[in-house]
Amino acid sequence: MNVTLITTLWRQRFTSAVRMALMAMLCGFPVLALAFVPGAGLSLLGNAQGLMLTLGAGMIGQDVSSGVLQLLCARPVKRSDYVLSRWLGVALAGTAISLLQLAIGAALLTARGAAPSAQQIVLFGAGRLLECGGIAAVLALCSSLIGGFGDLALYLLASLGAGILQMAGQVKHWLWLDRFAAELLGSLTPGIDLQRLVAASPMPWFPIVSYASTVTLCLALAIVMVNRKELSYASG
Amino acid sequence: MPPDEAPATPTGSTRARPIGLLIAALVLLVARILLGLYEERHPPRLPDLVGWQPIEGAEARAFAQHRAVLYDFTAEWCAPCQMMQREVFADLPSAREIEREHAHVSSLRAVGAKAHPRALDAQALEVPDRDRHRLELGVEARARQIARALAVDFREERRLAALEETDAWTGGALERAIADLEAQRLQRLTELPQRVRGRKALQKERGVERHAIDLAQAADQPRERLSREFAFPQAAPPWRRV
Repeated sequence: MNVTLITTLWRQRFTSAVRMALMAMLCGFPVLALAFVPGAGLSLLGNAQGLMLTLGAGMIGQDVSSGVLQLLCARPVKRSDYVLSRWLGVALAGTAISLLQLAIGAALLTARGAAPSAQQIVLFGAGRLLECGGIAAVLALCSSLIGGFGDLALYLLASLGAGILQMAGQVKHWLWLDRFAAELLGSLTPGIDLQRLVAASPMPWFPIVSYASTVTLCLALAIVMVNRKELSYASG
Repeated sequence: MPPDEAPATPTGSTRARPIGLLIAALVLLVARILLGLYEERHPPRLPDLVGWQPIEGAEARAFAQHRAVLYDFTAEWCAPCQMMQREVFADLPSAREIEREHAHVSSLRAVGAKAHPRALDAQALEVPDRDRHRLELGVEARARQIARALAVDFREERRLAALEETDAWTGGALERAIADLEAQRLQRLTELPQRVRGRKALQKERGVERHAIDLAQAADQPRERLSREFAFPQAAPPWRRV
């Protein structure tokens, strides 16, 4: 890991007005809803997918398109360090924002006399942490494949395609297609439902292994793809 | 003469292959496939502390006591249903509260239901107390009306099972009879949603009627074979006694 790369990424992400406005909207609306919807719980905060897409879009591709990666690779920085630092930077930033949102949400619920239990808060926070790490890894892979903000388009297309496949599988009653599409969709938004994990008996290992598999596979492939990139240093 | 210093920068290729990460990814991928296959056959179950009762008994006792019947429509694919299972049915105070409010609770596994299985609960709980019982009976009556046509093959299947136990039929004859029965059942199930979709007026009516159709579908669904055909994990028994 390279701390300088991580802090540079944060500076790049948090100084973009458009990105900040989008993130404020994505995080603010659920919190507002939590403040006014009667009987609402923490689940109203939803998931971190929108936040992570806003935060992580172009995490590598943007550097490739703008020529920053050429400059960076002229320095003695390992490309694997670069990829892992970008992933960790996005995941940590997403987690921090999610936890802030959770803290505000929990405070609002407490003020309304419907305080969530400590277990609920911990499980929700840990779930968000895993979700942020997982989606950041998928975005790192997408971003290593295509320049600019093409990773966002790639991610959305893959999600759409998987959704269509799943629908087709269900309509046609093709079990294999339905299962394949479900796995694909799950791999695009890796996460672990910790509440279900804790409640189920016996504890299911598949979600844990599935999550770890997706994250490691995405990161390994992203590093391989960045390693294979031949960067042009020609001017213009 | 250049100074004799150790290089301040790390040596080696900047394009080092992530061998460890790749091996870990491959191992986890294999484990994922194997675990997926295992848990497909041995799905973990969520605890349920509510004393679900058979629907027939619930109906009669609810009528006598003027209490509401709480129907639980659920399916493995229904995320809010699973959340309800985790946060309410697995929570002892909540489960006791349900049993206090609803003397008779019935659970049906609504595999294949088109509408939101959980919505009936909310609607049933939102009506005033004096209207609850009438409303619930209305749901039940409507559901039974629709379910009647679908329920025929249940009886047929029981008859076949009895024949199977007594060895009255042998080999291929029994298998053919079961295959025919399955075909008929699938035919009915594919027709029902079409009939429902065709009745647009029904969708504009009260939500209770829509969910009666869910109940009708649910009534025909808790068979293990059908659950597999519809790509959902093996269903639990449709209802449980306390």
